[in-house]
Amino acid sequence: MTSKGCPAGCKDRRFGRALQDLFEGRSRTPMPLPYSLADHLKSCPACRILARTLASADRMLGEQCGAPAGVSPFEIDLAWQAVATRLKISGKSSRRWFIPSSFLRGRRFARLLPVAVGLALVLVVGMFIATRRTGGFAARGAAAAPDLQLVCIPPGDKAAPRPARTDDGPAACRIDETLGFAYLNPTGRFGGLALYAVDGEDNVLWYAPNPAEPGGLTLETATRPRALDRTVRLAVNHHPGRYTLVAAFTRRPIELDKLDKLAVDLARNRRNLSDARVIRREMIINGGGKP
Amino acid sequence: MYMEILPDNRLLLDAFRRAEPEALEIVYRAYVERVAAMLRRGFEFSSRGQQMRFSGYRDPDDLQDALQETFMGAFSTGARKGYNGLDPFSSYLMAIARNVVLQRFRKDLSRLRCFMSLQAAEPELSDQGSLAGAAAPAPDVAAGLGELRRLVKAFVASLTEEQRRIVRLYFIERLSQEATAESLALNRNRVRKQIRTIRKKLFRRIQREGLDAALPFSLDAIEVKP
Repeated sequence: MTSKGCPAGCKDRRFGRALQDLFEGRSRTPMPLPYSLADHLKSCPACRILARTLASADRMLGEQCGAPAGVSPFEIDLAWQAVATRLKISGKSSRRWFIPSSFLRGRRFARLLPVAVGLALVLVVGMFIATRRTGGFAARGAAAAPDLQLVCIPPGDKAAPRPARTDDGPAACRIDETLGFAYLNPTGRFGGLALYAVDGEDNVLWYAPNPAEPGGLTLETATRPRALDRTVRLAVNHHPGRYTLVAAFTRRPIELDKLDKLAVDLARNRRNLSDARVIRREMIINGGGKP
Repeated sequence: MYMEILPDNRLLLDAFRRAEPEALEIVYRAYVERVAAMLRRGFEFSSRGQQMRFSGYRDPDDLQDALQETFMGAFSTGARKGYNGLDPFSSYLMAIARNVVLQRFRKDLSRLRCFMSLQAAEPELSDQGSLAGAAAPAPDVAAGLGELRRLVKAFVASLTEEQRRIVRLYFIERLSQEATAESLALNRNRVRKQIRTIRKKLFRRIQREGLDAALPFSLDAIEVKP
């Protein structure tokens, strides 16, 4: 094995690197390879050995932690990559889903599906109304400017989501609620969005991009409010108090690791991105009761 | 234990039928583990009046190939349109998986017929009608696997308690990083970094011990497919 991740005996180190990336969870989507990894594995004994070793190691890792014998995350990702490559799936939908994939894998999905569907309706209608009101979180000024809307989703299956805004103050949600988002990108000029909040002690709470989007979050043209497939359960890592929410609309998606350094500066208005639109909003998380 | 997302989620069903990439991935990840479990566990079937049992795939390559073939089949235009949208999708998918296994068996059988045992005129089925997924590993492979197991065990022992909890939730319960973070009340970035760090360290350790290239699978054990 070379230090670059290429198994000895394989002439094209990109495939060894692709296997390593897959194992380390760096990529789940088809990578720019000369041909598919699945096809390569069928013809390259060295990479096949590496793949089998990693699959076995991954299974053993689960077993050592008390998991029942089963298919490993590495094998699941490897099979998906092969299927996606053969089906020529680019990894991006032609239209965005507003239900995070993670919900569909967990038990929470059944509970949250009605909420998510309701959220979509409220977002479309609520945003349409909200953008015509003054103040609050509506788009101001230029119609071509991008904007972001916040929605609070109360706990419980039948609770209706509502715009996270007050008549004359900052956006507000309760700590037991889930935060949802929708965006406007009328001209399609902005291809990426970085979204996070900073609390009173300069702790950064990232909403987007998430770890599954190391290359950044991609936006589509949206002349009408479009739901962002991201929700945040506030009780998990937020506390009652005041936050600065920052939405950085950029020409191209910004990679996650490049944003860490800029996050606090942007929130505190100490630095601005050129060729980007940065929106800062005050957001209050209430301890309970009606906002 | 497993959740049935089709056909109840009509939005997803519509997107699946249109072959929306994200919908396909959601369906894949929702069902892949139970398909893999079935392929590993095996199943019974009858062939020409004879009751038989497929004992399941033990070889990771066989499992991987069968998984890919199953989902390729399930995601084909005909299969997507052919799903009636009324019955549980898992039943439909399992039927496809069984067909994949049986087609592979028939192909293997037709290959086997080219060879003749000196003791028997027909290729024999193991254990009275049982289709073995794979033979017991060769001694060198078994030794390599033992070495790998020792390495992983030592690796797990070196993890912190927090890392073990993250591994447990992420690797065992297959939770997303976001859900794992919620369960552990940790920052999502921290979970992401921890998972990547753990797997990176394990990969490095495998490299350092030279298990990635030489062991546990000898080249003789690897079938090079055309």
